[in-house]
Amino acid sequence: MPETPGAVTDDCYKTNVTTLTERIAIRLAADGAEHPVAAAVAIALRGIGRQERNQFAESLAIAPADLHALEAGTVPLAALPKTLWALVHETDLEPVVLVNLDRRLRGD
Amino acid sequence: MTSLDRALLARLMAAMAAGDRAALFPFIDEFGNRLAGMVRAVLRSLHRIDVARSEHDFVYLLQSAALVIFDRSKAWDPTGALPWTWAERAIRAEVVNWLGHPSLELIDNDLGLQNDAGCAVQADVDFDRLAIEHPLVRLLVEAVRTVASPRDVEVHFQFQAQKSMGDPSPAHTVADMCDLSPANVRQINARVRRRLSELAASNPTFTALSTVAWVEVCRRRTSSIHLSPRPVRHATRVDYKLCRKHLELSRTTATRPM
Repeated sequence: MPETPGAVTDDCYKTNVTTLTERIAIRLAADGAEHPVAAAVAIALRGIGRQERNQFAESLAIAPADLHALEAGTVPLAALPKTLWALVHETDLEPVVLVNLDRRLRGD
Repeated sequence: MTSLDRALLARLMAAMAAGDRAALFPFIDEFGNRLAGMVRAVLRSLHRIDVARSEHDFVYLLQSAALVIFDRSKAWDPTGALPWTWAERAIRAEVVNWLGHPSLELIDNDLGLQNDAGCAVQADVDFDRLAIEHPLVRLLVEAVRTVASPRDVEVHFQFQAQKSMGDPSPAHTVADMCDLSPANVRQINARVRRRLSELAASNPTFTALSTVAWVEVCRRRTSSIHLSPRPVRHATRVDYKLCRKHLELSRTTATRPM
């Protein structure tokens, strides 16, 4: 049986990762991050993959410092590494929703 | 439900305490069922279990609970209670904040009725209107205007109206209305009552007022110093509570022949 967001199973709870990513982005925006949605996407993908920063940077083939910059919100959504975008499509993250939030937070 | 992985919980809580938001994802994956139980219990205690039936709302509240724990993770003791139990009050506050205060639509008609119920500061007894329908009130109004200044008339009637409507401190209420001190209001009221009593005793036109409760009481108090040829056996009470509702004069005792 396919798992639906919010479904409770015996051993895990599958939540709506897009909503959680949006909420993290909004918090980052409140903290003053310049590109909060891009940062939230990077954080979400690392969290969903359950990886430490160095391990995740290695899997993306980027330097740990670059990943740190991504998660700090200094990189725009459009400039995210292609390897990261590829991961987005492998998860339940909804890119359209996130791009829309990015536009709204930037006031476009 | 599987047994709790304490080591994993401690590791994720430590990551959150270090500010790593990515830990929220595995935290909800692993312990979301426990958080769901807590959120559901809070909703049940608030009699809003209906919210749990909305998947969208429930997911949101569960994530809110996780974020509440994230915000407090630095203070969590791994040897103490489980995070969702430890943060129960904060989670509850978050849920209550999201639910908002219970409210009802304001209907103008209801508001009008509530105002009619008489919680306004100023008594809305219209003595002139009452005087048209009730001879005794007409006589009373005339008598009060005979013995008192316009200001004292207003103070006296407001004081008596407030008192008859159950105001526990009519002097304070009227003092606020008329920009006087409560002591002034009491003095004015006593002075008017004393003069009314004198008038009722000395002027045959106003003899009937000797049976009005507030005049009669004053007359009895001052009988030792003011002449009062006739003892009053029955007092007629002007009940302004009833007057206010029905514009009727209520006589609690039989009217004595004049």
